[in-house]
Amino acid sequence: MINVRDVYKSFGIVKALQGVTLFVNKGERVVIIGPSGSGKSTLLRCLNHLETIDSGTIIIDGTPLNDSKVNINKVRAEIGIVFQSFNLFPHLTALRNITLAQEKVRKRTKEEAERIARSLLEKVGIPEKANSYPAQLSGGQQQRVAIARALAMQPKIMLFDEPTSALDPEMIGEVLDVMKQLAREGMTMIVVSHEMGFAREVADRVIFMDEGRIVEEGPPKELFENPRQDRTKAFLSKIL
Amino acid sequence: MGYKLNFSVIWKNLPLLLKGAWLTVEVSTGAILVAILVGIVMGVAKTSRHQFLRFPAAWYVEAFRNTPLLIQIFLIYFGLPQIGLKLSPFMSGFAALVLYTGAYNTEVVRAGLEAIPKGQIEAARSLGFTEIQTIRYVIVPQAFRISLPALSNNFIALLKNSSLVSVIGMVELTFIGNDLTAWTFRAFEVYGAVTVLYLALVFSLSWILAIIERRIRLLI
Amino acid sequence: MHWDIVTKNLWYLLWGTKSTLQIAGGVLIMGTILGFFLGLLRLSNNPLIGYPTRGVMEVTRGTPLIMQMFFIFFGLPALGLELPKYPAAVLAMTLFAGGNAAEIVRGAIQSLPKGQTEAAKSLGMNYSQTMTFVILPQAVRRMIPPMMGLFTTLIKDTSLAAIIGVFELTRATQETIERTFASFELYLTAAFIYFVICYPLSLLTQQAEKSLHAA
Ligand SMILES: Nc1ncnc2c1ncn2[C@@H]1O[C@H](COP(=O)(O)OP(=O)(O)OP(=O)(O)O)[C@@H](O)[C@H]1O
Ligand SMILES: [Mg+2]
Repeated sequence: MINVRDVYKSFGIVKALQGVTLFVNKGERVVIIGPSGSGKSTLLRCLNHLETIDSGTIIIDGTPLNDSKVNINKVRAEIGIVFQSFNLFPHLTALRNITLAQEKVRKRTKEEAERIARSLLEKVGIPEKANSYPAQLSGGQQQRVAIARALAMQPKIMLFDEPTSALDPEMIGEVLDVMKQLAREGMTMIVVSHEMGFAREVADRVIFMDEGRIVEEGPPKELFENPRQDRTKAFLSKIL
Repeated sequence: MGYKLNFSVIWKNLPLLLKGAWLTVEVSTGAILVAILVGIVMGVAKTSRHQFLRFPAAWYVEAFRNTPLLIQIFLIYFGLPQIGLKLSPFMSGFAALVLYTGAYNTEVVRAGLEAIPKGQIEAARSLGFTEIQTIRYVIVPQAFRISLPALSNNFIALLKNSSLVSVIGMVELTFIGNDLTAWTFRAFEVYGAVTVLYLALVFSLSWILAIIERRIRLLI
Repeated sequence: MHWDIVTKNLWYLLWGTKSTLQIAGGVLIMGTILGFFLGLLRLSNNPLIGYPTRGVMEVTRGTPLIMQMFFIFFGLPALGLELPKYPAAVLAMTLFAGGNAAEIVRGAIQSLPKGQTEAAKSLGMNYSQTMTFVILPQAVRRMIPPMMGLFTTLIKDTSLAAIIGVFELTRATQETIERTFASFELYLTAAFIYFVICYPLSLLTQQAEKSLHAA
């Protein structure tokens, strides 16, 4: 499903990714952890072609991303991404945030888009907020709208970049619950998060990144309890 | 002094004064519309990645914002014919108003575009929007809403500034006021009336702009 | 092109520039003082003070400066108030500057969080103590960039005084053109002189805005 091979990415002199290789199967749930600046966000952004890679290959569901013949917007519509800072469109209601791309990219009718949007708002637990603007919603509610917006495109893969780290503690749970439900439904997910409880419960595999490389990976229980690498141990001792 | 205030001169010449006010409305409306266009084109140029677009736009803004409008009017009307470009009073005045206000609009549009967080564009692209769709549905509506109050101020300034084009003989409210004073010698009454008319125009424009602002907020 | 005309008459233009700067500087000082009065009166809770002040501000800000000059210079003699052109121009510009400065003062004070006034009051300070020790020191910092912008505007608007015959840069340029007919060269030179004064001021204003936001 996701096939990342030997990817390098630099910003000027900063080497954000230094040879990352990663395979994710359909339906697999992967959690990425690692210190700040280790390249976690950069990796997710490369998967969505928000950054172009310097070398290596990324193949999503059989489509190579750095092929100029590929319509990148088609590929993007298959991959949902949820950002740390929500990035809802502030000039649109929650409902319109969810319907806009359905109509303009997926070419659904207004009625169909709204029906899907309402059922997704139901699913993330805030059907009553359809007509609210982002500024009128709490952080947790905004993030749930953002998840619904991504899901409305019926993506095959969902990427989450620290979806709860901008939230107050009491709102983290409501967002994680939505993500757990998605996992139960079999969605292919890559989640950058330091919520260890979530990782233990949901992840098939946890990946530890440092300095632009994947240092260690394994099932959550194994990685958290018996890390093999010293760097992993040092990092885990700080956050656990 | 034996001067007695006599406002009958205003009532008698009211149609003329109102005609002047209407001419001011026409000139200002036209100049506002063209200056919006100038502001958008130059504002986009000023935020461009390409230096050859950014640089001229930046100098245009600085040149026209840091010199008096009156000098610009004189330079266009009296100066340009010397290098072979002769424009009518109307064209000269109109061009000066557009260029002067356009420079201020450029800065507003630039600030509006720059105020949109990068995450907005990324969110749109990640949903599969093309570049054009991102501009159309995400950037333009937000930039417009951010810019509108500042643009409104520029439009009101333009309405007041349009009085300056009277000095090169373009006929509008101030010109008619000067004319009327010259034949009636009733400067106090005439200029008083013209001042009231400007005030009425400025208030009406502010009111209309406030309505437009509210409408646009609902529309997009 | 006759650029030699420019060099020959440059001293005259610079003499006009000096007058421009004097008028703009004097008006800025008087206008700021007037602006503080009007701005504080405008915020008064007493409608008998607040509304008339607001009226004065609306008229000075809502009508063209040139109209205010014409009214004072040509119109006021009807009431027996005959002012020579120089004081008439300065009076008109001071009222105009005062109205705009008042708006700056009002905006700066109202942009402060309400909590500041409430905190001062809760400590038992009265109105003038609150203003002097808590509100104005903070508000004045916020006024500096727009006041600098107002100064640039005043330098440019001094050119309007030329229309009623006051000697300053624009008038000096016109007089030189009447003698030499080199309107393109001379107006361009005048524009350049205005630019050389106003552009650094604009840059300083931007700098002041930035450091205000940073703080
Ligand atoms: N657009 C950019 N321009 C320049 N440098 C960048 C850019 N984006 C990321 N970097 C750099 O690349 C490196 C990896 O950044 P990245 O955001 O991927 O880290 P991260 O693991 O997500 O960190 P965090 O936990 O803080 O979010 C960092 O050194 C960062 O400063
Ligand atoms: Mg990150």
